[in-house]
Order: sequence, then structure tokens, then C-alpha cells
Amino acid sequence: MPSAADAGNTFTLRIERSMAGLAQLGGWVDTVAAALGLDEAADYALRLCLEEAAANVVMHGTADADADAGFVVMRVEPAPDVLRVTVEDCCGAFDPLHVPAPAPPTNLEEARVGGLGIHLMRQYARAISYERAGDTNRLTLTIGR
Amino acid sequence: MRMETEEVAPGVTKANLTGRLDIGGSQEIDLAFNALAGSQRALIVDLSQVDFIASLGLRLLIVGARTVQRKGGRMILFRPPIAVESVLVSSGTDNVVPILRNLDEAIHAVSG
Repeated sequence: MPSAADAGNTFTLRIERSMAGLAQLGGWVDTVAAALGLDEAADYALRLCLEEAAANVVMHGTADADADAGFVVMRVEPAPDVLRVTVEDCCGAFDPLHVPAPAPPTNLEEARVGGLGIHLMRQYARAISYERAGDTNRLTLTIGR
Repeated sequence: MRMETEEVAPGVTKANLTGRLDIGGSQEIDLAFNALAGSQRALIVDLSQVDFIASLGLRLLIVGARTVQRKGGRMILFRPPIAVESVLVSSGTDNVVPILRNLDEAIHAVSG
């Protein structure tokens, strides 16, 4: 969680856990990247990691009776050399870091069209960790800037 | 996200994509791109004006290439910027949908 001193610098977006909610992400990342003056590489890494993490929740999250399970909350907290990014949801416990990396496709008919998100996030984030805090799934990513 | 098409050789269509193939962009052209893939046997997808792709965009391209292949046709990717090519390579997409940079070679590759 951001400390009080950082609170004014932290960007937060809460979206519905739906494809329509995900479609809001691109414009929000534009705003964050412009406010922080991110270069192209940092912009790409932030955009990719947020998109993959949030899409995972939307497509694979299992909702329970908790009304908050209908939302995904993303935070970007800038530090001098890195961005600390958290993606939280209140779906059933799910650690995406335990999903095995997909084998590279060898032909078009067998190529998987899912399961690449975690693999790509690992390429673009310096560090990723997962924790289950109460009824919250929290993925924390460190992205270079 | 925008998609325009042009015939670059007899029976060979080039789809010029412009914008970000992020979740929103992929959704915007999903129907049109699938319809195009369903109607072409020789398709060059020009990515030179696409500045972002992640897994939903990869999915769009792979499903499209599969649709073309099932009709006995071919689809290739053309001139992705380096940042986009990195994702195509990292995901192994280039193993199943070739990336080419020369238009004559691209036309030859899909005309087979």
C-alpha cells in the first residue's frame, strides 16, 4: 500500500470485471504515462502488464457472493527508478504465477490463443509477486522506468 | 484502431492496421478482421503502424491466420515495429505466422 507521503502520486483505476471495463484501461494508461513522462519502453511494459493482469481476472476470475468480486482495482505508484503496480480483485483465490509457461506453438492448428499473459508479464516486469490478503488477490509488479 | 485493405497483387490483399492492438483496439476490429480472414486466401497483415500488441491482439492474429489456413490459404505479418515484434517473438507467434519485411517476398509467400 502507498505510504501517506506517496498518496498524492498514486494513480488508481477501478473497473468493472468485464470486457467493457477492460476497454477503459488504454486511455487510463495514456493519462498515467503522460503524467509521469514515461518513455516508450516503460509505457509499453506498464500497458502490457496491466492489460494482461486485468484480462486474467476478467477471463478467469471466479466470482462468489461478494459484490466486490465484480471489480478490478489497479494502482500505479511511481518511485525514482521503478513503478510499483498492484492489481487487486476479490474473486476466489488464484495465484497466476503458478500457471505453467505455455510451450511455444509449433503449428497454427495447435497454437493456444490463451495462457500467454503471465509469460509476457514475466518478460516485461522486473519482479512479480502474488499474495492472498483476506478475500483479496493482490498481484504486485515492479516495472522499470 | 483502424483497418484499411488494398490489393497489392492479383488475389493478394494487404490489411493495413493503425493504432494499438490492445484490448480496446482488438475489440474494435475483431469482427471486420475475422470477416476479412474468412474471405481471403492470400493475406498480408501490415503491422508497421501498430505500436502495441499484447495477448488479446496475438489471439486476433492467430485466429485470423488459422481461418485463412483452413481454406488452404496463407497469412503473414508484415513489418512490425521492434516493440511489437518482440512480443510476437517472445510468444512464439512468429513460429506459426511468419514475419516478413519485403513486400515482394510477402506477396510470394502468400501466393504459394
